[in-house]
Amino acid sequence: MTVDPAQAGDLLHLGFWMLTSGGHVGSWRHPATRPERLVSMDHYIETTRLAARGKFDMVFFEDTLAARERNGGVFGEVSFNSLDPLVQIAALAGATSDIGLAASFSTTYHSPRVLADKFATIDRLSGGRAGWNMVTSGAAAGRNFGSGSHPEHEVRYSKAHETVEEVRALWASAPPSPQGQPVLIQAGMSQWGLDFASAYGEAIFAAFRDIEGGRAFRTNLRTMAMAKGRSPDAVKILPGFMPLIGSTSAEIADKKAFYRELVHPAMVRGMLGERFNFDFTDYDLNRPFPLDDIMDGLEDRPMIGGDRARFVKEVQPGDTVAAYAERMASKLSGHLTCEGSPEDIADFMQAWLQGGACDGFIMQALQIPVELELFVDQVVPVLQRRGLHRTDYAGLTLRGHLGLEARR
Amino acid sequence: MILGLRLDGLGDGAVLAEQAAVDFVLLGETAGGARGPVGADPLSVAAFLMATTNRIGLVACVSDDWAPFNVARAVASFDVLSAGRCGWLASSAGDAARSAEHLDVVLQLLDSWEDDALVFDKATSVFADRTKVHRIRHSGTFYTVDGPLNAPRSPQGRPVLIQPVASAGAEADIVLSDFDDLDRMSRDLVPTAIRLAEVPFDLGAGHGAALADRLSAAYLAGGCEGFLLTPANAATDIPLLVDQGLPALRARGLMQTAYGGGDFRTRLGLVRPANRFAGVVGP
Repeated sequence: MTVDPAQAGDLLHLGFWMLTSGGHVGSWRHPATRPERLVSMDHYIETTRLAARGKFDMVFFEDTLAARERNGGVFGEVSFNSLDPLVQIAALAGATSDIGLAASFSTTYHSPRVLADKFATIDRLSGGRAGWNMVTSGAAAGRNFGSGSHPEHEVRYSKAHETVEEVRALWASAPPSPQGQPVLIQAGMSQWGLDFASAYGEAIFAAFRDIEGGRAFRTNLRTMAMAKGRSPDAVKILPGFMPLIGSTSAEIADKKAFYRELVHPAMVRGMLGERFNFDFTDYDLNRPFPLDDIMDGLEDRPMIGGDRARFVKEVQPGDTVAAYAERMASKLSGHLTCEGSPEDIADFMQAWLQGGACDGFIMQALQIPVELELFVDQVVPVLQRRGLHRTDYAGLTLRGHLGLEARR
Repeated sequence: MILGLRLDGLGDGAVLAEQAAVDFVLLGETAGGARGPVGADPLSVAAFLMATTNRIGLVACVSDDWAPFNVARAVASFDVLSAGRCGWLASSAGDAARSAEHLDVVLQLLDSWEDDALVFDKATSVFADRTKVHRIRHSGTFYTVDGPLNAPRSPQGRPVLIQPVASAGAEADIVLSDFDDLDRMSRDLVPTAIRLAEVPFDLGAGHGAALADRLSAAYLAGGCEGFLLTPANAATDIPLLVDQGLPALRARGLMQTAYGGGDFRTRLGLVRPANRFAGVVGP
């Protein structure tokens, strides 16, 4: 039987991307957020149970190995970035019974033995619900792990290859969980990322501008997986996604304005400082954007991530700092967004799935729990009525939820 | 007396231990930093028990072959999320000088956020007061670590630290020795820490009262403040301990019948450590 790499899937796979108070930078200031609860496991347990009520395939925790900073100190105007995600999903294994539990952990700063051990343990504790998002970590981590120099791209990535091979060999020696081995997840769209994803990735987090981009990526990756002897269906593509749900256009406009207001001016200045490593604290925001001053300083700062180059490109000719900042603050997220009624959101998700542009989504909520609750109570039933989303879990493992074979 | 119970594998027995008001359970090996078989990571098992128990202290062996930033972040996260139930046994995988520096770096990182650094002021958009979060700027023989940690200071000040007596430093909250080696824990050598003796036990043939006799005698002789009990067979020995051994100790008034208030450190009667960076302004 020939397999068509462009063949669309028939059921959505949904991951919920757990950020402390939500995917919107101002969400910790939302009236419904109780920030003191963000340091309590109860908050993450309740949110995970809410995602399980919506029959999500999994919750996912990201990982950062350095405090979020601006201008030489902690970026105190925003929520902290992440506690140890494996402590969190291990605790969730004891607090939930069906939803998948996935987390990022670094191939650069943990040994294969540590990685194998921790994920195998959590996979056993959860009855086969663990997933590992293999990351090589951002440059800021370097200062906490040695000489302060983060290894170059190629070094990190060749180490990642070796690490995942060693981890799988160690897993093969461990007592298997009901799903055999944890699910391997990967994000990143570089050529290296594609090679790695097509060789090992079982769920792929991605970012696309439009449905055509998604379709081209998915078809390409499935073709690459087949060339490596894998079934194209063994790779699920999940773009990042954050919906804005409102029943009327007036309600949507109000909600956007409301979230824009949550981005405090001090937060805006901090985000500018974080992005450009330039102190905007007392800068007159009505002056032209100081791109030359920023560029002059860049050479002295060796750790320039790809992001900063992108941020520089976003500066438009004639921009004042305020104009740039307004665009930045109005943006809901760096991922796909869709605004509309629950039916509109479901239409959008359906079009992407049936257009062969994805196998589901890794979804953020603007605020936790308010916007996740809206999605679970209003969008999920629409998806279920259309036969696009499960009404209950068919199995008890993450591989089962994702439609992946058990791996022995 | 203070009682800990060693669990193996995936931590079966923790719920029974909590019902019996045992002070803490300990996961993992203590000797030589050796990692057990793949698939029984002590810290992950202890974190799992955070959700299946409510009060009991949860102690994990953590090997220092894991970078100090990772260790500090894991135990701080655990303590924060469990509202102060975390302990860790610093297990040495290398030479003594490296292990000492490793522990020093971990303890510095655990102080990098001051107690009142989290402000949560929505009106002024101050989640954390950045003047109360500090770099440690450690540059030593074995480690170079800038900090700060990306986890706030733990509810207990820092998680309860257990060390084997042979490698224990001044920061140890609890020191641990073999039962046959109790004289190494004389108060002259260990002036402040809680002293626990490790006692392997096997109740397969009964003998719950005999175990209670043995513990009582050693405790009343003043050689230690409590014990870490290690069952020969967790599945059979822990239920027998709870049914026979512990009631005999309670009958003598030597063991608590319920948990007291406060976090793990408070219940052990330990002092909350001061933060070395308190009062330092700026990163």
